[in-house]
Amino acid sequence: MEKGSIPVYLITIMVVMLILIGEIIVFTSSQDDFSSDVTIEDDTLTYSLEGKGSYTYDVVSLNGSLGSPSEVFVYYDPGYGSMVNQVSVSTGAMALDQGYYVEQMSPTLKVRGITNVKIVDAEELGTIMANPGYGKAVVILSGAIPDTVYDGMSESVILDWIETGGRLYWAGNVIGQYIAHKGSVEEVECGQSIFLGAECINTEDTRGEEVIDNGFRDVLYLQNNLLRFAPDLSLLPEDSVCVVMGYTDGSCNSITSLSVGKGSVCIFGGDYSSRQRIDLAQVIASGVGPETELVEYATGVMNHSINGTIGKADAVYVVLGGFFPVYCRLHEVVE
Amino acid sequence: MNLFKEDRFFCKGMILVIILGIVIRLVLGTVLKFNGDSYSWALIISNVEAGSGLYDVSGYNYSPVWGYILSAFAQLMPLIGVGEWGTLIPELLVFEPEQLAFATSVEFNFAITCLFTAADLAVAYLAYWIVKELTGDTIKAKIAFAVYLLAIHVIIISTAGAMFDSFSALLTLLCVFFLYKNNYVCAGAMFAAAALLKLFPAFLIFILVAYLIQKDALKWKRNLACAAVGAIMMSAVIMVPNIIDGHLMDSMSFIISRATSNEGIVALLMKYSSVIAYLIIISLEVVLAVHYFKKKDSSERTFVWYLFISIMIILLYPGTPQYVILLAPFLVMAAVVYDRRFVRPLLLTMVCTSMFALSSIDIQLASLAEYTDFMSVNSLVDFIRAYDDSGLFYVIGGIGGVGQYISIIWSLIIALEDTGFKIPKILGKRSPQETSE
Repeated sequence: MEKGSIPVYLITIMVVMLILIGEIIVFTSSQDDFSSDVTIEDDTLTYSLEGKGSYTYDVVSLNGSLGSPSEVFVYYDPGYGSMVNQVSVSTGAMALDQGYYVEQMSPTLKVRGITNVKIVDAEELGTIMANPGYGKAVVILSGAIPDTVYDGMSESVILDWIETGGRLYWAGNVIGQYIAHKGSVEEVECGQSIFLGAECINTEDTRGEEVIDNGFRDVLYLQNNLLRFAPDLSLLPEDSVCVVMGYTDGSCNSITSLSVGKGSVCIFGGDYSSRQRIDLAQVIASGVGPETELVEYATGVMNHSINGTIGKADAVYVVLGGFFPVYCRLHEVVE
Repeated sequence: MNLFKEDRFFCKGMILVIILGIVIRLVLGTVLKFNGDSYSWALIISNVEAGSGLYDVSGYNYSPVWGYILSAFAQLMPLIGVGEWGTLIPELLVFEPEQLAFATSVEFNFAITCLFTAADLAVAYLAYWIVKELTGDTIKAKIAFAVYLLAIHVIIISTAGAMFDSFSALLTLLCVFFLYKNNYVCAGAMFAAAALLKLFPAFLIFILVAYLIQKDALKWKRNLACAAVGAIMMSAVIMVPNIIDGHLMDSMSFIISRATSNEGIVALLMKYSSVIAYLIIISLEVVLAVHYFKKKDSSERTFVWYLFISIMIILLYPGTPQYVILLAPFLVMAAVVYDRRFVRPLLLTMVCTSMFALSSIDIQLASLAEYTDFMSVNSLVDFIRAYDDSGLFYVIGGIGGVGQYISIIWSLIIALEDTGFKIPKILGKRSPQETSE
């Protein structure tokens, strides 16, 4: 072999090895590469995290957590009308329509430990909501609620379901304003009042430029700051119980979680975006609800493993990777 | 004093060039980074490590090759000391598009720059090897190495630009190397990897096939079959797992959806103009391959020359700054080996492509503002607003983009003239034989 060619053969071997090793990593990496555990120790909680590399970690203890939902149902029925705005995406990316958003929910939640995710149509949603909602979560991204659960009145099936403990996660348009029928959409007068007790939704395309100073944005790595379709907090009834997260313009907030009966409605501001989807998954998985308080959090860089203690609370949410999460888990603390 | 005079590769001049090339890259690449792309690389690595593969969760829009390279390289990141990958700067959320609010950490930037620097070094070495083979002149080969490694536009794309086109150039040059070595299976494999990494090298198929047929009139069928076997094997290794996983369309989304993701008349015009333009480009590639074939000259010198023209034809459809990286080693080789008239367009592309790539300098400072004390985030926000208001983005980007395109056309005119096409004598004329000796 000619001497000058040897480096070229070595370069070839390295490039091919990079491709092949990378391919193996792509197809063998899994959530099983990570683990976390939380145990009670006197008046504190002891946590331990393990992973295959070096990552930022966040461990946050929460009181008043809703816990992990037993099932997550994502509503999607192309046969029914919807009311969402088309958004543009960067060159080369898949168009972010309702179908793709819904499809993306399952893998986005999987990284956060939620594996029981089902996509349901209008008929199936009707069947689900005919039963008590406790412990279950429904995500509606269609901007219009199907007539199988909503008729524009406060006695609608969906409201009964929420009041029995169901968690409704909403994004894409004004909540309650549209009823979806097969192939059409009907507008409802004062529909948002049925869910929120007041006409309070912001319909202007505004952004929150301030971080809400209650810690949730930092520990949950919330990203979306769009405020269209978010409720104006000052217009909500005074007795409303809610927590806001993310970003604010002073009156509207990028994420608002409100108590409705024994259940909750969580509204995500803005038209569709990848950021909104990630925030949605993060809020569902962390179990943060209208009465959740952040007790304490620990953060740093983990190299393969880390142990520590944190203030005692109902639940502990673990995030590995920060804004680039590789593993998130909610641990409910049972004495 | 000629620093490259010694026969051995690692002479004083070359060591100086290598050290300069590496240090400039690592410093620039750590502090300057186009956060739109570096954010994407961090997102892809995190998706893979989370077990979501390349396509389960949105974020990766290319064919799998770059994702594989990134995933393998990410295993080294803890060794380089990368713990935090990046963060979102709330103050930048007011600017569009959304991913620009992210800043990757300086450790992450350093790590990713190491990868691009390694690729640039490899491309520079291949330019050295090819020039040495073509001319037998070690000094010319060393000059080609030095010019490529220190070319400002190559440095900017590998550092601030954070784009992986140097790997596209590397795989294309490896294909050329194996053709030289009559190793057609490996040549086919490298061609397939290059074409699957970024589409442009795929357009070179016509000239490559013409060369294979020309090179050995007796065994061309066997040689072509060997190259096809290599290409099929590499394609299968890269693509089959994704096809089984149901991600074939996802892995092609950058080609399929690039002109359909936005609305309006502009998007429609872009869609159809790009389709028409690439049909014309394919036709020109076929014409060039036929012209080459009729020349009945199977020398490597003529083959590399036609390959150079072939790449310039691909770039006739105006593109982004990183697209010219595929051309860069060939343009350097053309200036060193074939015709010194290429020096001027080479200088023009160095300056203009750098301007084009640095036109978004404001957001390239995000990592510096977030992770160092050299600049505060508030200063960055003020700078972005002032930069936006001044219109400098359009001025610098416009001059850079137009200048880059002119440099390609200029190079193509010179090349076509030297090939014997009758081009109006607007730039003077000199044959390649006159200058190469």
